[in-house]
Amino acid sequence: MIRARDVQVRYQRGAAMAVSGVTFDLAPGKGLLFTGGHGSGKSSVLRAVLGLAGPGGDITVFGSAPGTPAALQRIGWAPQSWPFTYGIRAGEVATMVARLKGHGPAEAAAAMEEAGFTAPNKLAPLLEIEESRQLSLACALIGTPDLLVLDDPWEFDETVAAIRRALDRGCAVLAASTDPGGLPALLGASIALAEGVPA
Amino acid sequence: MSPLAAIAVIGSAEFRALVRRRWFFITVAVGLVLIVAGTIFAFGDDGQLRSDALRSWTLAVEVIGGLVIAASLGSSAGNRDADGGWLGIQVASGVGRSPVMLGRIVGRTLALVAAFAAWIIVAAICSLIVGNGIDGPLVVTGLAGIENMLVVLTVAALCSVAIGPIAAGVTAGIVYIFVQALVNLASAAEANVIGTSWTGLMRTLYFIFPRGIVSPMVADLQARDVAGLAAPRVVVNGNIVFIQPSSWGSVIFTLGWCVLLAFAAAGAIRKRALS
Repeated sequence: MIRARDVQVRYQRGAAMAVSGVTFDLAPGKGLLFTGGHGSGKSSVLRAVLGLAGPGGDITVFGSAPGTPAALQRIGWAPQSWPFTYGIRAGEVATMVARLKGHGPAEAAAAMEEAGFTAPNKLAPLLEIEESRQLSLACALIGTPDLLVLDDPWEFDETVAAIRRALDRGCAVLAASTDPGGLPALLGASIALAEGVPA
Repeated sequence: MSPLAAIAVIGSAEFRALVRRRWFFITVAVGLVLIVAGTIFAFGDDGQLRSDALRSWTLAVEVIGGLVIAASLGSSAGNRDADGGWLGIQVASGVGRSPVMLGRIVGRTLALVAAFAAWIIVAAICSLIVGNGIDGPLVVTGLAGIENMLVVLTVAALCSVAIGPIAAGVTAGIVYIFVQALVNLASAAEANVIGTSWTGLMRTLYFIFPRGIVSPMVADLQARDVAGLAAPRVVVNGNIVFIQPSSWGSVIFTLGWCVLLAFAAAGAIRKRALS
């Protein structure tokens, strides 16, 4: 599902690598957690897998290069923090992601319910951080993806249950967390990063 | 999902988010207040002066307010940090980066049109109130303003892929001044009031770059020097230059440039690292 060798991420041309030398494999039904402090490169590894950050190194996702539309359609992505634009309503975020993945508002509503998110009419900037994490997870759960990529998933009961269900049905789960709690045991494998390289 | 459907979905989401933003609402509202204020001032005059007063106030709102809105909208279209990961969510949905960028530009274009529509409608109502009927030339000037600001928006969107939002907005503003100056200098060249060595250069640049669209109403106000700061009379080497209204060819040519700039932005975003 994911084969990554010497993952590299550089954000500005000529600047130092944000990530280098990270190698891992992820099979269907398996989980992997990246841990480390702020700025250790965890999120950058996830972005490299999604093709959002580069150059990437030697990575294949579903047998193709990261970032191809075909691969991304099979991935559920939950970014960290407040990734939602000002002025948008929470329900509109989930509906937009659902439509872009070929689904409808019903799938968006189901994903929000599964993630425990209950404020679809709230404007995104007014979301509490807990609600932001739940909405982010809901975006990832839309359309039963084959790979969940979760950046800083908080350990709500709904999150743990959603990860368990995903692993049980053969979906792979790739996550990153500064405060992992029970996630390493849940996902089964973890890699610690420090300053962009395996610790 | 087809690229056109993806553009529609993203354009719709962007439009709804943008028109709810406080700065957008305030800019549009200030423009409306100024048009109403212009109407009140217009009551102090009669006949042609009354009509000119309302037209010049509305023109000032459309130029200055339009520039603020177009540069601000365009400069956040492709910047990876502008929306804190929002662009990344859209790209990670798997519809391709180019449709995402085109959708963001379409959403911004719709927001720009909405702002101008509000100003045009209120200006038409004000024109009715002052007894001038629905001022058709003023409506046409508003439509020309939309096209001028679409150049600003698409230039800012293209720049936003490579440079920060403030620099992108400033660059787009400079381009706006450039294309307006090009129209003025091309008219000066036609009137033989600039040196022959410059005439060829001006004509060449005029045929290459997008053109500032001049409505018949603005050309008339400029000729009579009553357009105010938004469209001052053009004087070159001590000679008054009468700017001609833009032809349909110029309108289509400049629209083509806007489409080209939008597609250039959609192509440029493909290699960018995103949040």
